Amino acid sequence: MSFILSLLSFMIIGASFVLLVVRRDRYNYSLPELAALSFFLGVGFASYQLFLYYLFGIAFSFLNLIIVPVVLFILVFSRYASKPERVNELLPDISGFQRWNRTEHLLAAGLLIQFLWAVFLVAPMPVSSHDAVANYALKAKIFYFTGGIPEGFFGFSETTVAHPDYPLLLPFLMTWIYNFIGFNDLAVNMVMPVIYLAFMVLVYSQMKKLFGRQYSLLSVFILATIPQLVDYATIIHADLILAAFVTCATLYFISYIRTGDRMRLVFCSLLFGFSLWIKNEAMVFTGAFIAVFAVFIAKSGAYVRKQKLGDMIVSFAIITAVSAPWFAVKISSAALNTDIVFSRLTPEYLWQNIKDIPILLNLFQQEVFGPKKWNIFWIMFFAGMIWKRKRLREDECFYMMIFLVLSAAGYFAGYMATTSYDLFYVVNTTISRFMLHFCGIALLILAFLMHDDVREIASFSTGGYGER
Amino acid sequence: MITVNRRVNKRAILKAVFAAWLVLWMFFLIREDKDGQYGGLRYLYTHDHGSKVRYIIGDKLYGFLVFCRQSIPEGSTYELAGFERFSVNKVRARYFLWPLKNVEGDADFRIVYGREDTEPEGYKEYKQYGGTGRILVKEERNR
Repeated sequence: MSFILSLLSFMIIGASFVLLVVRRDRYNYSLPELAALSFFLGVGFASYQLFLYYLFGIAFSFLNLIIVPVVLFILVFSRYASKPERVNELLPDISGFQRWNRTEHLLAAGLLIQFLWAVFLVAPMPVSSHDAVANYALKAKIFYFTGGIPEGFFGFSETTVAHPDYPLLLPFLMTWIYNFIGFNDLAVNMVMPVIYLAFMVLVYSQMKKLFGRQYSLLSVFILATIPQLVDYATIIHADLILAAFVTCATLYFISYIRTGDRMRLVFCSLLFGFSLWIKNEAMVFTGAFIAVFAVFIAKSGAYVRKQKLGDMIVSFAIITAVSAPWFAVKISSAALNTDIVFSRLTPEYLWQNIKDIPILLNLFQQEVFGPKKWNIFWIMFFAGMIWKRKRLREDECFYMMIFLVLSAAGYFAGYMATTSYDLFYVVNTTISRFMLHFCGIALLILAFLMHDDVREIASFSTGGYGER
Repeated sequence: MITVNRRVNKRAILKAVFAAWLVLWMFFLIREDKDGQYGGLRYLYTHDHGSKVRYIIGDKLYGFLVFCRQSIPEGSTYELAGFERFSVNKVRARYFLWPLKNVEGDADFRIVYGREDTEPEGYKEYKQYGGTGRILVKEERNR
């Protein structure tokens, strides 16, 4: 029960933002979208709150934590209590509702089975995987028992805690839950299936606006049943969370490109901003997003270019405001990344990494063709790109492809700049989870590429391929 | 006619791809992995939290870590020895022992899991845990 309350507190924080900021008549969200988006935004704002507590020396106690969601809840409640007719704004518009057909029921059943299977695997398992105990769960344990971030934490050596320079969203999320349930590293694991569920719900609700219900369900079914993605929904790692934030942010951006609705850009910017609290790799995605935005502006008609430039500045300002405290502390405390140390990156080191590129490619092809982690996802993706290569330059596919290529280039550059161990070790231990960061974007591209063919040949309702 | 055939082929290809996806999904969903996950899950579902942790990190290491936690005074620092570099057991030990703090060099205690070939300078025997391991203490601390 306490665990559910802790999840609700995240949703209250996120929903308060959405309900207080968004006017329903301007942006029509469904209840599943509201719930999933609120959860993600709530997790982000809660991390922000805890970090501000650290900066102002406020303890991470239960009462200090819940004061924000409680105040926000009172604000939202009083808003709707004073004008009860506005409660209708919260209810979904079901006027055009059509009953689910057999295919949709089967796909939904498959998704439910997959989710319950993840819960079944997680429920009896205490925190135990390598990175969880070395990094995320250990930090959460430290924060919870210290009642905050201990002094000198960002200068701790790798012997004390792995990667003190890593962003803290996941440890904060766990610390928050511990404040509700007490220290219980069995129950806290359950947050991962919840994140997995919210990820799928948010992708589905966004895709449903771009395509039809059935096609969106099919796409989400493919994404949700990727073995690697499910594996990461059962362990305390930040990779699934990063994939969720980056994929959903990209979907909101695509939605913004199509409609010009600034609210979607705000959600996109917030999700990109909060992704910087999840993993250092988010810097690559955020950089790629800004570059893609610049390309979008350059391709826009002259009469809207100024307006789009204004939107980009707002977006950049949101990302900066959200991520600034973290980077300010990270830079001022000189928390070091031990994987990429630029002072050690000599031309010899770089040349050695370049010579090892075949090793990287070999491990990459093992990921692509090995079904154990990815089923045939990457084979489908690359085959789809070859088959529908002309479409890659059209519409949203164009922007998503640039985003994917730039981000992948960023990761590749990161591998080339690795100075900690030999490239084989680094790639071998990271490539499968790094590819997880990209699989949501890849699925979106595949969905856009195959949309017409699936509609044409499969007696399959894919929707009108337009914003609703 | 050609269009119809192409459409039939496309349909067959898409159906085959989706069928392959479903078959592989079901296979990897229920397949028991190399560590025998079903036996492990049965055990984990039927035991309490302490037993779960003991099962995951192994009887020997669990017993030793409980011994260390009870033997080393709160607020102390320690070094770990006898673990493989990057081993999951090493990071599990560090997680399990917090709030005792793992540091690099000049620690109050030295936790030796298994045997250590060389005798570290400046430390002396503090406590033994059967043949599993021992705890050394910095010499100046006991003065």
